[in-house]
Amino acid sequence: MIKNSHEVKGTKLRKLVIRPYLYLIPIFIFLIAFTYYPIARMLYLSLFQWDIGSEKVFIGIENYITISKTPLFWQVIKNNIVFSFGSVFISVSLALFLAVLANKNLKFKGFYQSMVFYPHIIPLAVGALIWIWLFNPRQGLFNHLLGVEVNWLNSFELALPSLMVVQIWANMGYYFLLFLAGLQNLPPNLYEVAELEGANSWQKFRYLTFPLINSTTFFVILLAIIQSIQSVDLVYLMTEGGPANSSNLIIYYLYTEAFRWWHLDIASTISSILFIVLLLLTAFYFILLERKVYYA
Amino acid sequence: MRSQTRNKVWIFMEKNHVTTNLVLIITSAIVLIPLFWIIITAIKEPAEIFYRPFSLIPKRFALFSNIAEAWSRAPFAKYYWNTVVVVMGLLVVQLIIAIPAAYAFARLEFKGKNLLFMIVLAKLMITAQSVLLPNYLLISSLGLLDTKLAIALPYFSSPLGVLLFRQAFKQIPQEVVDAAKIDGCQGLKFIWHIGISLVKPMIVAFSIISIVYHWNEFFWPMLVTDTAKARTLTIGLAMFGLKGETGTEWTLTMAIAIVVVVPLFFMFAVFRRQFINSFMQSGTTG
Repeated sequence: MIKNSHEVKGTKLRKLVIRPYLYLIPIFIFLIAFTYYPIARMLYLSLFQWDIGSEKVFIGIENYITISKTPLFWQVIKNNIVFSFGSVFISVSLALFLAVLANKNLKFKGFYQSMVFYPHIIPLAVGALIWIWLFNPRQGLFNHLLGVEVNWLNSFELALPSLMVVQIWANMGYYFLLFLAGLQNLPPNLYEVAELEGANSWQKFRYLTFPLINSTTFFVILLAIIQSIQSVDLVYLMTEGGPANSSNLIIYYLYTEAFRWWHLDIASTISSILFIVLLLLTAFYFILLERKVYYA
Repeated sequence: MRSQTRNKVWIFMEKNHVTTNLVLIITSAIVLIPLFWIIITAIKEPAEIFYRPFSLIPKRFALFSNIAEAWSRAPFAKYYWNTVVVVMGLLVVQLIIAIPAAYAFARLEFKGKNLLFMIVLAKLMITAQSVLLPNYLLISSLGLLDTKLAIALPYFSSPLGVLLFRQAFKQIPQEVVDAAKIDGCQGLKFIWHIGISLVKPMIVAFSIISIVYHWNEFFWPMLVTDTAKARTLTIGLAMFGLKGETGTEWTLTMAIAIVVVVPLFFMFAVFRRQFINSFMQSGTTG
């Protein structure tokens, strides 16, 4: 009898210990199969010279050296830095500015939120098409309004800035909502005190709002950078990287290397570099966050 | 006297946030231009966009004939069906996989919990684009190219889902769990009968984000599909709009674009508050 209850307890205990892992099995199967295994394989393959159908030859970091000697790679990096910096800076600061403005008891707050946010629920493919049409040299709205015949997307100087405009339009509303969410959590009584002390709006923003929503700002900037690095729909649909690679960004470059030229070894290497950069960015973010939490 | 009226004007403006409203109205108007232009173009007759002088107001309401014309030229019904199947099927799988995992992370104690949780969360930063090539090679070696499954597979494990549901499960009071346990309802049974109804708001929030994201996705589905068999709406639309030689027929393209965005816009109009909150939450918990 005693032995029996012991056994029951044993299986029950085992069940309790195992159960959490059972709940995690499905998600880990897919995480490993479709996220971590592909990444590991990609990092591994970047060390080989290979092509579809040919033998793999181990060449160490040779692929990385080849890429570092490719001028186009550096041009694409430069384009991506310009694109990321420009679009992130403008969209995040606009979003913050609008969120601070809208974080009041406004009658039409919901209306403004919808109007600024709606581009985010439109497919970027639709966004790209409509902007191609707006930028159209002959029948486009912009040239009509400006009274010019500029070929925006086919110009060496204007192609990349045009893509930035679309990127800003598509994402600003989302950052705006994230900032609003951050602002809503701020204690209102602090502002009452500040008002009693005679602080003006700029002082309230500079010394209260801005420091208080620091972590939101960090988060939004990181998110915006990651999104801008991975932006490919717009390039693919609007400019195909042209003219003369002036609007070629990293993922599109990767796409052409892999799926147009089938340089799979080079493409794996580009993927690996990209992955490492994104990983470092994320790590950097967490370190900053931890430091901030630690000091606060 | 004059300074007094000026003062009054100033107070009125301050009280009613006149400047704030003005700035927000102007911004809204600018952001709205593309949508406005989609609609205007979609309404015009195909020939009208070439008319001079250029006019903002369509001469005839040709939206429905434009939609019918575009619909007849490409298998949009098939694209629509594919999109609905991928989006809804994926959502169901994501929920089934994420909910038990989130429950384990929220309410159960086990070895390696933090590490495992970090491994799940790390995927938030490893987005589809950075693993485009390896995932393509994998899907291709599994013989799954040009299937709806290929579009959805990389997204089956959803870290955002785990994150949101974990938070929701944490907020269930321990007494509820204990009471259910006494009635013999625990584990999966608890999740199914009680847990799901308690975290329903979070399920709605997550569903909105998932539906919007995957309805709108373009690059990955484009990469893994070759024929109308599995293609989704965004790809069908892009192909229809950008078929080089003959030149884009903008009125038809914009008419179909409206058909593509209408379901989400309708949802957004009806559940506006819920949409806004979902997207706000997607950031604050991340």
